[in-house]
Amino acid sequence: MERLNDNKSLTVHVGWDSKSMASTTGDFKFNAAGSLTEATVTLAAKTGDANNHMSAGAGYVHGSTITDSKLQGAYVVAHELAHVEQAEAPGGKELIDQRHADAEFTQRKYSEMGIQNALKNPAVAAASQRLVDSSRQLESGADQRAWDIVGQK
Amino acid sequence: MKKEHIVLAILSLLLAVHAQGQKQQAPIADAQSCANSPLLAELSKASGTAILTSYGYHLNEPWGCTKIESPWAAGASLLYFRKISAHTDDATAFSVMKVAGIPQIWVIPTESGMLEAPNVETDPHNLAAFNALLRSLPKHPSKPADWSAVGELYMVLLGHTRVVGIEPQPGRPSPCSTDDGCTLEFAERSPQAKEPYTKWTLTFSGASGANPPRLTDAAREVISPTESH
Repeated sequence: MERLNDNKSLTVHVGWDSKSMASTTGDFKFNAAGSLTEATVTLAAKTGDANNHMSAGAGYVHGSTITDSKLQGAYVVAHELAHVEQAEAPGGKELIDQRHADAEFTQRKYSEMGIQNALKNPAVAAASQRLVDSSRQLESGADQRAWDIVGQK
Repeated sequence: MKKEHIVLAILSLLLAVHAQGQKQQAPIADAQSCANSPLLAELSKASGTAILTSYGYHLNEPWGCTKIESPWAAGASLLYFRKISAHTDDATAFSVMKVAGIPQIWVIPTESGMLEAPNVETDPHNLAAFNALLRSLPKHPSKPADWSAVGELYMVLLGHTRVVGIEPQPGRPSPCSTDDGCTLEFAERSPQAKEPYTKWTLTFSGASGANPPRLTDAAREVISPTESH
């Protein structure tokens, strides 16, 4: 996380959610040069409790093996900051823009056509699949990054 | 350039375009096969919508949809839904199953936010759903490969689409026959020597008289590097 620490033009807001089942990272803001200037991390209490298993199927392959709540809490913080690193990395802004465009397009088509007709449209199916694939890629990457930081050696 | 070189170049280009086309088509095949599923049509009607709504799921929200296909799901319809959004860490997902000859639709919540649904492996509802599927099969699993495919199908229903089978340790009984049933172990990835991994153990009873095999137990445990499995 040294790169985040050394980036003096980046502000990461950190919030707390006592009810949600997901800690999240979002509200990314970029300057005119395309550099990340702000992000918001919201930590959910339930995700830091090792009685609640992280989902391996969603890509938290390392996170799902944690059995200690302190370690899981540290993992979740590192995982969310890894998403900030992903946004800051080259191509991060383009990926975020693509995901927002795909999500907006998919949501609009689902509302207009219903899920079944929408998924028969190749463009909607492709946008939907891109979101699924990029989510898996982002979560797997953040899972590995977090594990590199907090994992037991 | 010689004529044969030109022909070879054109063939190579055609092969490359074909391969690229296949790569691009493969990921969306699942969504389209889901779109053509009669089960999705049923879920889109008022009665299906009511079932999903009772679980807090609404199909007007964007969901990625995958049709689960297996030789051991012949005659059944199985769909897997994963929420899709621009936000990270929302992995909410569920499976839906309908077995041939039974009007009931089974909904299996698998993930919520970042977290697995609690005790998803051992939830009696999920075991019952899978056993309804086993009862509907025209033939029983007999060979180890049959049992392995049946076990993998249960794991996929629970959202574990990339599991690998773990070979039973020497000395551990592994009968895996129609009459004796089978005990199977799966991991999310190939176990690494220095890293913990999650292991699922599925226990199937064998067929007895008119009774088909049943999934009797499913356990999840984390294996640390110092433990043997």
